[in-house]
Amino acid sequence: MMHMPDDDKFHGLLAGYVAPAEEDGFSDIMMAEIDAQSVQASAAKHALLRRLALYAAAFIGGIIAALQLPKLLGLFQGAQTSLPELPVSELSLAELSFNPALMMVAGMTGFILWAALDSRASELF
Amino acid sequence: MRDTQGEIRTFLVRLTKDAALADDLAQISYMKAYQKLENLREPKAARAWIYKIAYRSFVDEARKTKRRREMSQTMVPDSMTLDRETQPSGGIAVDVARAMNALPPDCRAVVMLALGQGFTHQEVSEMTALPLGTVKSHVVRGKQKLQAFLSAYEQAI
Repeated sequence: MMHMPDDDKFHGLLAGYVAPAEEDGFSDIMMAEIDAQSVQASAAKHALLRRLALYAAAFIGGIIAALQLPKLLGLFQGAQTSLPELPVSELSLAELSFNPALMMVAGMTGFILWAALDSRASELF
Repeated sequence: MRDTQGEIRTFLVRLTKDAALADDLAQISYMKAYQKLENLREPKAARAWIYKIAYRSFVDEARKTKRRREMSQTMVPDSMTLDRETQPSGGIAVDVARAMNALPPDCRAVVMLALGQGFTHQEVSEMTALPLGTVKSHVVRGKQKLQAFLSAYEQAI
């Protein structure tokens, strides 16, 4: 501390000059502003988390869908090769739709498309 | 905040010579302080910390508006620039205000912090980001200025 003997004299001299301004509601205004900002920050944080969750879900869904693509292609190839052998009337589309892998891929694709395109989806996550 | 808002606002009024701008800077300072609250390691240092933020806010504002030079060199009558609440009531208070206003803002800040608020030179150096030697020379310069006005006042009465 560089306290000089005459510091007290100058401290007294400046007492009026540095005297605190009166409280005229400044603190209340500041507290209200800080509250408002913290609410905004919280909302922005939640929105960011929702968006991240959505993108992560879409990414994971995309990977799962991509992993199922070979099976889907194989299924179609199998269906195509079997087409000539089967009469058109006997080709059961219902059979295809009950294939678990195909259902999963279709479901995931639908979900990803819905999540990506529908703005209301972000409100749910 | 309630404990420090008065002195921070006065500090900024004295630096800017503009009560409205000072209140804006005080608001900016407290918002910054709120946002950086986790950086405050020692609650005891809160007062010095908020002064540091307030001074930086003033420097940023002065730099941004390119008014620093104008603020430091223009002598504006106190009655035109200061709020009633911060305006000296008369007598020696007016002389002190004139003496202080004759100092450049950085020197005025140092004198207010070191002599008016009782911070150590080292603390003032950290608050204002000025070298310790500069702080000491500002304090000496401020004392000389105040002493000159004080002598003139004493001779007058």
